[in-house]
Amino acid sequence: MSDAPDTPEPYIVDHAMTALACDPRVGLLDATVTVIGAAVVVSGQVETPERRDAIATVLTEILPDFRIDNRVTIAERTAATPLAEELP
Amino acid sequence: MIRIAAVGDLHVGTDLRGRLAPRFAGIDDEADVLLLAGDLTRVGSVEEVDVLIDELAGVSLPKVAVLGNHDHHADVPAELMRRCRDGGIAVLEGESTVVEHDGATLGIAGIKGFGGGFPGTSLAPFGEAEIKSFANCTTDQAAALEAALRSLDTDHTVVLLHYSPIRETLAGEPPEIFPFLGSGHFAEVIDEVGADLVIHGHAHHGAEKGVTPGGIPVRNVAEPVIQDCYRVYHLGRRPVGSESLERTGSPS
Repeated sequence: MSDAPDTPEPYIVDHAMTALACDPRVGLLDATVTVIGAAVVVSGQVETPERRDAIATVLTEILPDFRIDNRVTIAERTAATPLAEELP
Repeated sequence: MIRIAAVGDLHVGTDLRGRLAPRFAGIDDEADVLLLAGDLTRVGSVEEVDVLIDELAGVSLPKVAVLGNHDHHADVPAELMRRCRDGGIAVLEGESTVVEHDGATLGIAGIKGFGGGFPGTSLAPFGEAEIKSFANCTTDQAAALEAALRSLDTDHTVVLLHYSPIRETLAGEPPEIFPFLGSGHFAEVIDEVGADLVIHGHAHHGAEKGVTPGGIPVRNVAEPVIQDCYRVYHLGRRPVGSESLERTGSPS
C-alpha cells in the first residue's frame, strides 16, 4: 500500500527515507525529505547523475500519488592538492 | 615524519568506475600511507568493492582500511575483506598493521566500531536480549581495538575507525542519531592505551576536528565533511610557525 496525499506527513517522510536507505539502487542514508502539499521534496548531495536519477526513480515508485521535486545536487570530486595538517 | 592520507565514506558504486582513480593521481608524492575509514562501498556488494580495488590499483602506497556499515548491507563483509586483501588493501577488523617509512614505524590499529552513544547517555547492556546484544557488540569491539592497540610497539600509532569515538566530531548531525554514529567506549580504550591520532568517518554532516577526553586528536575524514579527495596528516614533525594541535584535554 502506498502513501496517499492525506497520509500524515511524518509517515510519508519516514517511508521515503527508509526506501532511499534500503533500496540497493540508492543506499543513501542522509537525504532530507519534506512534504509540501502533493510534492515530496528531496535534497542532499550525491556523487553521480546516476545516483541522483535513482533517487527520483525510487521515490516515484513508492509515492506514485506525489510529484517528486528532486533537489539533490551532485558533488563530483576532482583531483586537487589536498590540505595537509601538521600534528605533533 | 610520516605523512598519512585519509578519507572515509567513498561509497563506491559501479557508477564510479573511471571516476575515482583521478582523485588519487598525485597521492604517491603527497603521502606515505593511505587510510580508508569505512563505507568503501555504497551497498556492500562485491561488484562495488571490485571497482574500488581497480580504481586504487594505481596507488603505490600501503593502503589500509576498515569496513563501514554500508559495507555490511549485502551481508558479505568477509568476502569484501578477502577481495580487498587480495587486491592490495589491508582491511583491519580488530587487528593492527605496521608501515615503515624512512626508518620510522607507524602502527595502525583498526576496527569498524559501532554505536551506543557517549558518556552520560551510553547504552547499557540491560533489559531485552536485543538491547544487550547491541551494547555488547560495542564493548566487544572496543575490547578488540584495545588488544590491537596493545599489540603495537611503534614510533607512531594511529587508530582507524568508521564510527566516531567522540561527540565532538558529530556536531552538525541531528543529536537524536548520535547513539547510532559512535560510542565513547572507543575513546576510553584509546585514551587508556594511547595513540597519536584517531581517524574516523560515518558522520557526513559532522565536524572534522575533535579531541578525546584524554587529549588525543580525532579527525572525521568522511568525504562529505572534508569536501576533498583526502586529507593528509603529518606525524612526527612540528615546523616552527606551522599549524599544530595541542593535547588540550584532561588526562584520564
